[in-house]
Amino acid sequence: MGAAEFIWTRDGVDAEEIKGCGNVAPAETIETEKEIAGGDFANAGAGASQIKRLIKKLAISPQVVRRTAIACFEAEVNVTVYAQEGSIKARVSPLCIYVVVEDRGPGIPDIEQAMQPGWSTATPEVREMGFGAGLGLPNIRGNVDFLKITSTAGEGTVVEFAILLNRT
Amino acid sequence: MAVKIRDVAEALGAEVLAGEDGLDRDVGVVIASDLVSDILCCRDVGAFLITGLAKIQILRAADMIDLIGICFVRGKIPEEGVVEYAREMGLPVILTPKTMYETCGRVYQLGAKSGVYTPPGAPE
Repeated sequence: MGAAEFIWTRDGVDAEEIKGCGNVAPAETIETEKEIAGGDFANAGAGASQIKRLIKKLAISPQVVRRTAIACFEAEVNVTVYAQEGSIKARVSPLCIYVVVEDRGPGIPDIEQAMQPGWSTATPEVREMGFGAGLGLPNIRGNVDFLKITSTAGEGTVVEFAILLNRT
Repeated sequence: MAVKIRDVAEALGAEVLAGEDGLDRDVGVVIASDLVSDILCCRDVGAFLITGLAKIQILRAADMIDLIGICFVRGKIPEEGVVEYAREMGLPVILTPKTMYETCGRVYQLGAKSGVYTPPGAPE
């Protein structure tokens, strides 16, 4: 079975510019990574906190910091809620913040559907913790300039997104 | 004159659980929700949150959007670790026995404004 793919670029954002983010010399980038354990709700968001602390120290606008933090948090919570394990990795370059969230989990059978605000397959237990509103992926898209989701049923999901530093 | 967290606590008969040093922070905008994603849809940086969800997840979300303080309603005793985590963050957390409805009403009366809610997917 092949992987399902979803790619979105914010209106007005040049896809080439996003590609450029991936081609920055390692010397010009700062990276940080954190493992995510499925079901570990007490620590859900710890990776996003780590990333936020890192970028807050750099000369990055508060709006970009906030957008990055929210997107990272939502992506990390998704792994905690749905997957067995995963990781969140952020790479900060002079152009953008590029985040890759990978998990080993059930995958997303229909990504378009999962992108609809309100769509959720979360359990009542998860909802009691204040999650599972069906706003995770839409909220990521709302805060980033580029989003790519690749998912294979029964194997896992990779969520990648970029936030450009030269836009607000 | 700006409303302070101290004024909010007094109006609500709330107990201060953490962040005593931050009680003089100005409560500019307020959001009220029990849903983490909803809270993260607040466009304002530095909002004050009213919630019935006295869990660690709320504090982590608070950290993401730099909330200035939190009020737990309905006398909900926070789960273990919440108060300690708030103290580490230096985040004022207060606890009121009042309902969400009454809490919001009283804080509104004090003159605090509503935060701007950005639905997911809406452009910045």
